[in-house]
Amino acid sequence: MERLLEVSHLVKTYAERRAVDDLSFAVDEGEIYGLLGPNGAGKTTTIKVLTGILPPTAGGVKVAGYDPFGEPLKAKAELGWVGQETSLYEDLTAAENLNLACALTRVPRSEVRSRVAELLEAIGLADRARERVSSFSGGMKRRLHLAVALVHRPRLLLLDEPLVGVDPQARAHLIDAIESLARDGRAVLLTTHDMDDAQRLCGRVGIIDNGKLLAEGTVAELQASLGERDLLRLEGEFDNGPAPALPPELGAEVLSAHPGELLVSVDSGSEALPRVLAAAESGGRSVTRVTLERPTLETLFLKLTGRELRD
Amino acid sequence: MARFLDILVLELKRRLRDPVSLVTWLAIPFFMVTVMVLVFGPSGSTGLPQMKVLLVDHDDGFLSQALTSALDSPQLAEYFDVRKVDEQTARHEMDRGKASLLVIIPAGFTRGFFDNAPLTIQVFRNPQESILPQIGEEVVTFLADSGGLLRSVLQPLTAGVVDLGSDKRPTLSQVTDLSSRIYKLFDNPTVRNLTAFDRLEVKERHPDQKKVTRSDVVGWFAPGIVALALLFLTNGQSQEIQEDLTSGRLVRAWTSATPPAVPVAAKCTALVLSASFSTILLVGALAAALGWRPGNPGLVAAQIFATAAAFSGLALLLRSLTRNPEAGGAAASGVMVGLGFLGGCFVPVIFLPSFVQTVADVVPTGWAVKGFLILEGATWAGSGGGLGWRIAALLATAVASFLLAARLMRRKAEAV
Repeated sequence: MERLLEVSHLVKTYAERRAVDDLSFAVDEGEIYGLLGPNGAGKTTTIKVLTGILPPTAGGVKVAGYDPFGEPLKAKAELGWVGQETSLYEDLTAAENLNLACALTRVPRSEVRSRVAELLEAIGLADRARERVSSFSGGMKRRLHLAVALVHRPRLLLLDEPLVGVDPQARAHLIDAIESLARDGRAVLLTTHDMDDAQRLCGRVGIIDNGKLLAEGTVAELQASLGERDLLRLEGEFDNGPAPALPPELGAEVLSAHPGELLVSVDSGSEALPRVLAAAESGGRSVTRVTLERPTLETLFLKLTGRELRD
Repeated sequence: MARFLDILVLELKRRLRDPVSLVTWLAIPFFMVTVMVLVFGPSGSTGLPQMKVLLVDHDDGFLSQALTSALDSPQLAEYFDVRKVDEQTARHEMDRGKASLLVIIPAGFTRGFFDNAPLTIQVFRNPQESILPQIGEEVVTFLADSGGLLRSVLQPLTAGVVDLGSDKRPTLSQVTDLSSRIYKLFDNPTVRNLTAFDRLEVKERHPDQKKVTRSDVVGWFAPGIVALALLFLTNGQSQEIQEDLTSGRLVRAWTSATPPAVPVAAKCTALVLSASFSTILLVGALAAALGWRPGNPGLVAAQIFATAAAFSGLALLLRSLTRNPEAGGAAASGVMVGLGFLGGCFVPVIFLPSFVQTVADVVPTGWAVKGFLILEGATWAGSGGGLGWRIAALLATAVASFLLAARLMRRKAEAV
């Protein structure tokens, strides 16, 4: 299995701020790797370095064995990039956008026509090939945007928040397309701040915050790192005071304590619930709602950073 | 090269399909031509607006009447509507902006002329107008200068009859002597030419141009209009490239396996070609509607292309210094209006202060306007060299601006 992306000890600083801080990970062919983190975690900065747009401060990157800054054209020939915004030419037709992408990515002229037709068919826009993109729905534009990144058949795909702001139908289409690309042997790196997307799509996930990789592994491995424990989410009239003292024999761990919400990890939710509830309501607190949850990647992020992904 | 052409064709298609851009391409030139037709009249009409001149003649002598006759001569009557009034009426009408120029000939003007005394003709310009009073003042100044020259020729001949204006009655022999001298004087061909006011030409200082015609005036303004149109067009159309940058389209091109210079060069070439095409339409419209003859078509095309390239580069450079298309448009408009003024796009530089005329020789707008003037054969364009170095300077400006703009945009892409 070929390694199509290798990031080692990558650092990118802006003035005093370290946007990416000693980041290392790798993506192999056929793999979907997710960089999971909140907004401002350094995901997009990392993608920009990988595409050769932004030079790194330190560290190295290899795209299919090529350095994007040493051999940029060779590295770029191996990658396709889909940014957060649909950067299409609205006044050109779908086919013309793909033709332009073919020109930019040096697709042989003899193959352009068939390549464009094939992609339009694949994204379900063959019958609208001659229509201007400005008349397309948001979902259609998203599909075309992905197709534009695929015209030169790159072996590595960099998808920056590809599912943000997409309607359910287009979302399902895009998820199928991404999974299909991985099945075809392409390596996919996608960034997301949505835990569900990461759990659904990614074989491996790297959790990133403040430019640092906090944890990495398969979704199962990461969930296992939390143990087979339950989560009790208590909501009510809490103040900013210290978290309630829980009986030590419960083995309970307070993952986060915010005004109005307390998140506690316990061995067995059903057994611990009455005593956790009693402890929580001591000292004048009032619990209005209790939820028993299984641990997720968001739980892990919470445990690692003390913050939720949406914060 | 094939990639470049593919991208260029699609970029040109984009520009043709953008209705706002297309309307701008066509509307600006035709708007400008329409304005010029409204100002100068359509081709074949009498053209120049007539200048209203008020003349107060406190002298009422031979020379003051000669000056009035000169302004009222058939050659100048096309341009001057001269009315003799008293001073109070004249000042009142000037205060109300009813005339472009007020000329006051002092009492004793004719006598002072023969006495070889210093003479002053007062000229008041209407401050609300700029060009017509300037032209009028130039004409009066020229007539006064001619009078001074005439006096220096006449002086030796009239030395014996300087008391002609006194109360003392001349004797018969004096009158006979004077008649004889005057006859001899006007028998001299040089003097006859100098005193024949109907032969005076406004543009006497340029012997190859005998008379200010309507086409001359069109020729003064048309180069500035063309350069101004190019400023507007390139500024407006450069916005698309800035939008390509801010929207990520250009960034996407830079993530592809094409050298970054190729898509940028294709976009810039599309910009220059579309602006040039639009300007050729403008020049054609000016020629058809106003009879402007801009000169050798090949050289005119080269001048248009060089100007379009330089202005496009400058517009893009200004936009690459700003954060978004709105700020870019405002900055580019401000700077380009200033450059337009300094280069003589709004008002021909001959009507501007001398320091502006000097500056016009070192700014791209000045190279553009003067280049067109040289092409149309306007000798009044003044000194400063030929067309070749101006085209070269415009192209050098274009290359330097595009390179710098591309570099700045590339740096900006890091933040997109």
